[in-house]
Amino acid sequence: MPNKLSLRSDKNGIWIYILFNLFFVFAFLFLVVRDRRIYIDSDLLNMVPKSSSESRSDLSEKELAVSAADDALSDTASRMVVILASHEDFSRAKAVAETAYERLSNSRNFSSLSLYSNQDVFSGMTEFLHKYRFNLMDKNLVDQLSTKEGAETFSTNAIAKAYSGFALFSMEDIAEDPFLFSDYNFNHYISIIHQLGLALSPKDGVIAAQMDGRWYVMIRGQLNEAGARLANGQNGVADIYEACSPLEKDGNRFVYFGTPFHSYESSMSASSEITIITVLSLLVVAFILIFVFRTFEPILFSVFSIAISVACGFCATYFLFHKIHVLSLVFSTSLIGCCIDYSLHFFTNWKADASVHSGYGIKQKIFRGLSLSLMSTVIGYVCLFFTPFDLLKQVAVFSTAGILSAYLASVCVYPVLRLPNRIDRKSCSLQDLLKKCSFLEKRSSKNIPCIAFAVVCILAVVFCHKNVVVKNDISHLYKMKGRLLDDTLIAGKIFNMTSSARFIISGDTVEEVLEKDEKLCIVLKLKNIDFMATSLFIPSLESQKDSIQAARNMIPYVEHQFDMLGFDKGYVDKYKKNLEIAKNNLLEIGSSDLDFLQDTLSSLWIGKVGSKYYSLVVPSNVKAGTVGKSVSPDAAFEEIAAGFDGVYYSNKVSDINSNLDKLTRMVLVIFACALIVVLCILKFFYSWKQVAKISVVCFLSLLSVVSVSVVFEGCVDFFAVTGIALVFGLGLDYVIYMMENKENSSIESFAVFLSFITTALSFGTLVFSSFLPVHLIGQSILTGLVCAFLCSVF
Amino acid sequence: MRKSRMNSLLKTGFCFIFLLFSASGFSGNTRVSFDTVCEGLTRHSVTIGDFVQVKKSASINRELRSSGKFIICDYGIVWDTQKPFHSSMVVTQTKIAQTLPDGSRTVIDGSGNSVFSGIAGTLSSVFSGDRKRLEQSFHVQFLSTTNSWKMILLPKNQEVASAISSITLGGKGPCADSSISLDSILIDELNNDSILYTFKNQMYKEDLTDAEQTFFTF
Repeated sequence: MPNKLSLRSDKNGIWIYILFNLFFVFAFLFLVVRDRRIYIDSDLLNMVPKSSSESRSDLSEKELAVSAADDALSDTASRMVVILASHEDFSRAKAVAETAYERLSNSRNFSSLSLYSNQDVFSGMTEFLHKYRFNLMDKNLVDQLSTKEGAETFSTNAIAKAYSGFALFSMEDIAEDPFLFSDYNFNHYISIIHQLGLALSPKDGVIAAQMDGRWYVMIRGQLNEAGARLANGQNGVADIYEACSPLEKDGNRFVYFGTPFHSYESSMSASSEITIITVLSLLVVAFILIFVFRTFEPILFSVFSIAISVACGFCATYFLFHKIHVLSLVFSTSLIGCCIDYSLHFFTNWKADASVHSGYGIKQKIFRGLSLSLMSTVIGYVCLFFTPFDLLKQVAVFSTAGILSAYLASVCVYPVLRLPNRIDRKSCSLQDLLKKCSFLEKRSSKNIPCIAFAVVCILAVVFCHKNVVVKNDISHLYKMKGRLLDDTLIAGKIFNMTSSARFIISGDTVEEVLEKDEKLCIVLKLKNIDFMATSLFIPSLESQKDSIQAARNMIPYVEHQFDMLGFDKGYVDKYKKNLEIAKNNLLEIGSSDLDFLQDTLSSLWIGKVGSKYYSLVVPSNVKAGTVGKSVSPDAAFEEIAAGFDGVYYSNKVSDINSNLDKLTRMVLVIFACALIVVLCILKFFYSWKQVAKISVVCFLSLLSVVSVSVVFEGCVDFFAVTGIALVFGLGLDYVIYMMENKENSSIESFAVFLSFITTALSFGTLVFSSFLPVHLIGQSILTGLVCAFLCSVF
Repeated sequence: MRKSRMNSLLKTGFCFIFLLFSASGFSGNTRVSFDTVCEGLTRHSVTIGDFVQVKKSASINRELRSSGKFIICDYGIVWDTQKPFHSSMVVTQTKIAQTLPDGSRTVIDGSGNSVFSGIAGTLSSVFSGDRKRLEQSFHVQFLSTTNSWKMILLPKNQEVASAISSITLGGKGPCADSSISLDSILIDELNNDSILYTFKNQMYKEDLTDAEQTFFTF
C-alpha cells in the first residue's frame, strides 16, 4: 500500500498534469475568444519553405529581391480564382457565365469578382496612347528618326498608312498626330500581346476565348481572407462549386483555375485522411489493448491520455503560432503511437508484474526509462523547432506538448490507479502472452539479425550510391489528377502560362529600375524571347526624353505632312506646342493615366520594399532550347541576369527546391548535433559500451532509411531526413527501455514489442497518405523504427 | 471622341464580309432577297476590282480620299492602295500584313485569338452562304426593288456597336445579264466619322495569278 507521502506526491502529480494541460487549453481559448475565429492554414504554398525564411538582415541582395517579389505577389496569386464557363456556342457559354456570376455576386467571400469586360480599358488605352504618343516610342524608332533618311521614310510611310485601306486610326487623331506615332505604338503593343499568345479577347461585353471548338467565358475573382480560409465548407471555393456545379448540364462545363482550388481539394482530402487515419489507428490500438489486457481500464485510460495529449498539442501549437497548418494535424496522428508507449509500459506492469505492490511502485520502476526516453524523443522534436520552416516548427511543438502530456499522465495519473490483485496478475492471460513471446528474450549473442540487416542496407546503398545525394523536387510532391488536372491543362493553353521564371530588377530609384528593365528587355528581344515588363508601358524618364527628341526631329517635315493629309499650316504650330507640353508631362509610375493598366502593372511593378525599388520582367512560354543551344532556360537566364548589376533571375520552383536542399542539409547537421547531445547525456547513466550500442542502433536506423530512400525514391529528400530525425527520438526509446529493464526482461521486452507494434501502426498508416510528403515521412519513420526495434531486441 | 483600336480591328473584320458581296450572278425579274444576294455574291472563288475609299471626319471637316485594287479569295483579302501613296493590306484567317512604300512589311499573327478567329469564321460563313452566322452578328434590314438592293447592318456585338452605328451596303441587280453587284459600303461611326467604299470594274475568276498569289506569301 502507498504511504502518505507517496499519496500526497501522486495527488500533486495529478494537479501538475491538470495544470499543464489546462494552461494550453486556456491559452488557446483566450486566442479564439479574442480573435473570434480558429485559423486552420491549408495553403499548399505554406507546405514548402518560402524562398527565404531568414531575417532580412541575413539575406543576400538576390535573396532580398526574391523575398520582395514573393511578399508582393504571393498573397495575390494564392487567392486568385479564374472560372471559365464553357460551351460550344458562345451565347450559351456567356449565359451560363452570367448565371454563375450572378449567384457568386451574393457571396461575401470575394474581395473582387468580374465577368464583364471593362470598356474603360479600351478608351483608357486609346487616350493613353494618344496623350503619350511622343513619349512611348521604342529604341528602334528613336534611332530611325535620328537620321534624315529614316525620318523621311517614316514620314512617307505615315502618309501611306493614313490613305491605306482598313486604316486603324481615327481621323481626329491625325490633326494632332500627323506621323501616326500612336498607331506605331499601338501596333507595337498589339505585336507583344500576340507574341504572348493570349487566346482571351473581349467579345460581346465579356472576356472570351475559343479553343478546340468550344468557347470559354472568363469570370475572374480574388478571394478575401475569409474566402481563402480553407479546411471548411464555407469558403470561396465551396461557394464557386455550389454556384457552378448545378449549371453543368446540356453541354455546359466549367473550368476552374487557381491555387485556391488545389488547396481546397487538398484540405478536403486531408480532412478525410485525418479522420480515416485517426479512426483506423485508434481502432487497431484499441483492439490490441483489448486482446492483451482483456480489461477496459487500460484502454479507457490510454484513449483518455491520447485524447488529452492531442488536444494539448493542438492548443500549444495554436497558442504559439496563432494558427495551425492542416498538415500539422495529419502529423498529429503519429502522436497516438508515441503516447500509447508510455501507457503500455505502465499497464503491462500493472497487469502482469506481481513483484510490485502499487501504481507508485510501477512508477518508480519505469520512471528512469520513461524519462530518458522522453528526453531523447523531445530533443528529436525540439531540433525540428530550429528549422526555418513553420510547418516543421508546428509539428515539433504539437508533438512535444502532446508527448509531455502523455508522459505526465503515465507518471502522475496512472500511479493512483488501484492494481489488480496479486493472484490475478500472476495468472492473467497476459502471462500466457509473455510466455508465447519468450523469443523476444532469446537474443543472439552474435547479433546475427542486426548484422544481416546492416549488410542488406549497405549493399543497397552501395548499388545505388549515385542516388545517395540530397535532392528535392517539389513538382513531384503534388500530383494533380482528375478534373483539376484537366482544368489546369485547358487553362494553361488559354492563358499560355508555362513557366514560373522571372527576372527581378532592383535599384535605388524608380528611374534606375526602369532603365535596367529597358536594358534587359533589349537583350531579351535580341534573343527572340517574349516577355512582359513594366518599361514596355512606362519607359524611363531618359527614354521618354529621347522619344520626345525623336518627335522633335520630325518638325522639319510637319508642314509637308499636314499638307499631304489636307490640313492647313495652322496645325504645324499646334504640333510644336504639343511637343512642349509633352516635354513637361513625362509619364511616371502612379499616374492616374495608367489606371486602366492596373491589373497588368500590379503583377510587374513591385515598388519600394525596404530601401530599394523592384520590378519584374516575366519571360513567356519558354521552352528548353529556346534560349541557348544546349543549356536549360534557367541556366541561360541566369547568364543573362549575371550580365547586369542588380538584375536577378529567379525560378520559383527551382528556388524552393534549392531551399529545400539547404534545409535538408541543415536538418541533418542539427540532428547530428542533437544525437551527440543525447549520447553525452546518456553517458551519465550508462557505460561506454552501452552508449556505443545505442550509437550503433542510431547508425543502423539512419542507414536503413537512407537505403530505402535511395532505392525507392532515387535520392535522399527533405521529408526522408525529417523522418530520420523522428526515428532518433522514437527508436532510441526501445534500446533505452531494454537496457533499463534487464532484470525484468520478459515484461519489458513485451512492452517494447507492444510499443513498437502500436507506433509502427500509427506511422505505418501515414504511408497510405495521398500527400507525398506525409507518405515519405511515414515510410522513413516506419523503416527506421523497424530497424531500431530489431536492433534493440535482437 | 477617339475610338479603340481594338474596335477598329473588329471593324476591319466586318469590312471583309461586305466585300464578299461583290460577287455576282443572279437572274430573275422579281425582287431580290437576302438569301439570294448571299448565294449570288459567293458564287465565285476569286473576285477582283477597283475601289475608292473616302474617310470623312465631321468634327474637323476633313476627308482622305484614296483608290486602288482589291482581291477577295479563299486565302483572304488584299486591299492594294495605289493612289495617292502605294501600300497594301493583306488579311487572312490568322494574319494581318501591311506593306508600306519603303517596302517594309509588318505582320501580326493572330492565330489562336478569338477576335481573329471570329472574323475568319464570319468570313468563311459568308463564303459558304451562311445567313444564320451573319444574323448572329448583325440585326439585318434588307430593302430591294426590281433592280437594286440595300442592306443595313446594325452590330449586335457590344465592342463593335461601341464604335460603329451602322453599315450600309448598296448594289444593283438583277441586271440584264442576271448578275448582282455590290457598289458601295458606308460605315457610319458613332463619332459621326464615316468611311465610304465604292466599287467598280468587278471581275470574277477561279484562280489567282502568280502575282496575286505573292500577296499571301508571308
